[in-house]
Amino acid sequence: MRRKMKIKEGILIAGGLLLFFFAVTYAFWQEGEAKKIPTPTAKAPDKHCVESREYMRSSHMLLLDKWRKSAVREGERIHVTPDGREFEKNLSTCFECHVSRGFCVRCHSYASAKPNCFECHHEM
Amino acid sequence: MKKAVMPFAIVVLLALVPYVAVEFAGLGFVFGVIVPYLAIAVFLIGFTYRIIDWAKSPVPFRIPTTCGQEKSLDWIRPNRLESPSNFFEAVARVFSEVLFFRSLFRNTKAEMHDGPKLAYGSSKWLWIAGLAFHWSMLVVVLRHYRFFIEKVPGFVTLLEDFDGILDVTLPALYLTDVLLLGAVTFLVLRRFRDVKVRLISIPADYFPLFLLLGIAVVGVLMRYIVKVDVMSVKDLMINLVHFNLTLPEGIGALFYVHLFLVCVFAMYFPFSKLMHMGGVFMSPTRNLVNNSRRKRHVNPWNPDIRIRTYAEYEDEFREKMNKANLPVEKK
Repeated sequence: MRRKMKIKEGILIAGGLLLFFFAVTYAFWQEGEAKKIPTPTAKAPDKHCVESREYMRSSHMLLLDKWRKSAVREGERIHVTPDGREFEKNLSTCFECHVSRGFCVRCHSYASAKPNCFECHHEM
Repeated sequence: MKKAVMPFAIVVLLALVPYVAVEFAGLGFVFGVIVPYLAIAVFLIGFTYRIIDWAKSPVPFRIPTTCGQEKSLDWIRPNRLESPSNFFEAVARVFSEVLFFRSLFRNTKAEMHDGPKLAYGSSKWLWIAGLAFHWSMLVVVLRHYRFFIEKVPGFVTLLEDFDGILDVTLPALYLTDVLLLGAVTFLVLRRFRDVKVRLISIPADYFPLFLLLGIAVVGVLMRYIVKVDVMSVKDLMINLVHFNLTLPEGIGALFYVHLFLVCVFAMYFPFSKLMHMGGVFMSPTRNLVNNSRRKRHVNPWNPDIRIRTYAEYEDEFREKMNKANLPVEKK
């Protein structure tokens, strides 16, 4: 058994549906084109970072967290990479190549991820 | 037990499909671009279809399930929320259900005690877990806008700040991640624990729970443990919402598992119990005004029956009735 919808009901239901659709497709209505993601470059691109580029892109925060714990709590201040290079576990080590905070901020603000490094390391 | 094992196996299988396909067959484009478009199309069309189907279904009678005093004489106090007497009270009633699950709050539990005695008691666990799950889910979904909108809106960062307020672990632990996983786990265990609930649970009850659990576990893994390249993920999503069909390189396979399970969820949604999302607004036992004493509601498809009154009957048979000495009203 079908029936004709009452007009008031129809408006309510259609309005609700449209509102829901707008919420679901909210991102599709946003202005702007598909832009390239920010790709900040380091000062010495030929030099190797502590780990591979892929690893650093996705997991640098885990490495920094490990550095913080081992350096501050256990006093092990030297990081030795698998291929034998040595780095001091220090944010300034990073900034030797990745010149400034701007290097971090470009991606971090794009991905809306807030680094909490600079809450203490004001000088960086 | 089979009722729960089958859905679980299906979810595991569904999680393996994109992993194998992307990692070993290079089908990233299918699972990163084609399936998501398909999923959102199926979701929107299916959702609309179901809502229109419900909207066309007849509601001939006033059938609100009230549990309060209907508006009556002036000196009887009506319960405006539980027995709404006008449109706005009905709206308030629906929204109290949608936002706070009022009817679940009244959930009771029957227990047999020695004696034998049957006892009913208030049981708020389902209500609490349900609230925790649904609200966390909402926050989690809204938080995901950060991957879809280039300039992340303020409300999303605000949510992120409050959600990560504990500031423990390195990507800050989100409260809603904990709440959601905990609540869904409770909702699964609830179906296992009580024999009565276990009896009435069917695979369609377990499947969405396991699916959500799978989505959440993979999501949590990606955030805290097995990292994926967030920048490429956002690149893909921004490309998708601007209909730019390219697939960025180097997104971890785990991401495709998450995305595919979400797509399955979206495509399963309109054809399952998950439609209670729309259904809660369309439910006549909840959204009707309880005014059947003040207003006459006539079933709209009642056939037009020709009624024969007694007067007409008597007119036809008066002579015969008089002959038989039957009493008549009109001489």
